[in-house]
Amino acid sequence: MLALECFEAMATFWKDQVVVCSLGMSAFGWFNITKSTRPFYMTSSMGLTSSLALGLSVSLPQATVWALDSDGSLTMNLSCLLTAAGEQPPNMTHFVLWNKVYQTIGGHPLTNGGKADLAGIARAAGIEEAVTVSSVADVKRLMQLIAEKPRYRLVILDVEPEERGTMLPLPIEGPEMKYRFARELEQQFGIQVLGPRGY
Amino acid sequence: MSIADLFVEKLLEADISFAASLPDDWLLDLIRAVDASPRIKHIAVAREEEIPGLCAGAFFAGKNSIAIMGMAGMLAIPHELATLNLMHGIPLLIATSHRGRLGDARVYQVTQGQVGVPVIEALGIPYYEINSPSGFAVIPEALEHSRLAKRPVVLGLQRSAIRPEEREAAKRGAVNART
Repeated sequence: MLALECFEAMATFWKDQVVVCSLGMSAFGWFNITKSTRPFYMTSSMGLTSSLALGLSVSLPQATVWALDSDGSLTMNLSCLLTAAGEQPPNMTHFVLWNKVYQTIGGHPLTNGGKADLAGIARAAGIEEAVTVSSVADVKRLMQLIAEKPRYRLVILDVEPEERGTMLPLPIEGPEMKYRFARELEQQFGIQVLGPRGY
Repeated sequence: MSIADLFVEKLLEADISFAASLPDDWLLDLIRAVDASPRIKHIAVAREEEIPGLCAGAFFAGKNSIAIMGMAGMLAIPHELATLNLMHGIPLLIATSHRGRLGDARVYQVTQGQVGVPVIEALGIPYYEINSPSGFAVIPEALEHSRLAKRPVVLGLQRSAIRPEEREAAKRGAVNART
């Protein structure tokens, strides 16, 4: 399964879920498939997608949150699995793109050659449902299950390493990312993120 | 009212409803009081680097938050503060124990005390010392400043603010300065 094939299948299930993408292939891949500026795309902060999504999920239970993480980011912040296991908010799914390489910088192998069982690590950390999917058909089946039976899940998306192809760059970054994402959430959930003076 | 309860009272006054923490021995009482508050959602992390992410998530949910960690934690998170908070202009109120100063007899805290504040200042992050429990009154203003300055603000909790009884006991010779 290729990453873009996987994201294409997932995107057919994307409606009002709040999406947070880690830098690199997750962000580039999701943007190139969806062309949407609704998600929060990390352009740095490696490792923090899972933490930001967890803080958002427990603080905004009316939202359904998808963290689109990557293997390099997750392995940089493995302690997030212990923290998530203590919370397991039912409105969050933590997806991890597992291509076993640091693809954006040229395919340098992930530490330990990507041989680790990330779903196994998550289960051992206390996360009750952690699975690995390796085909587009399995991704579609799982996305249907997630839609029908929401609960906290960690999903390892087992994809092939690829050459970095030509992809559209992210058109927003930095402060604009903050303001646009905040305004999206304000509009979608009727909450106030930014104060009356705009900060 | 205990010091820890006063701390929580000022957090609530600032409408803080989310906290993420990793303790050191000075901060235990404060963190336990935060955890016990039914009005604050508290997440205990395993590594301080998670905290800026968690609190940013709470920010985007419209919640005010506080990060609580030792000065060792402050030295662990400059990358996260730079690439998440400073890069995007996301506020974050941090309460840290200012360790390694006169009277702090933990040898493993000395270096944190020496380099902690220079690192915070190198990041361009405002730092304010809290020298007594009454200094907690600044929490609502510090939170507001973090929001309007669009960057973290650090409150350095001195021993006189959170462990005054230990200081008094040390003066009386009732505490073994080597422990």
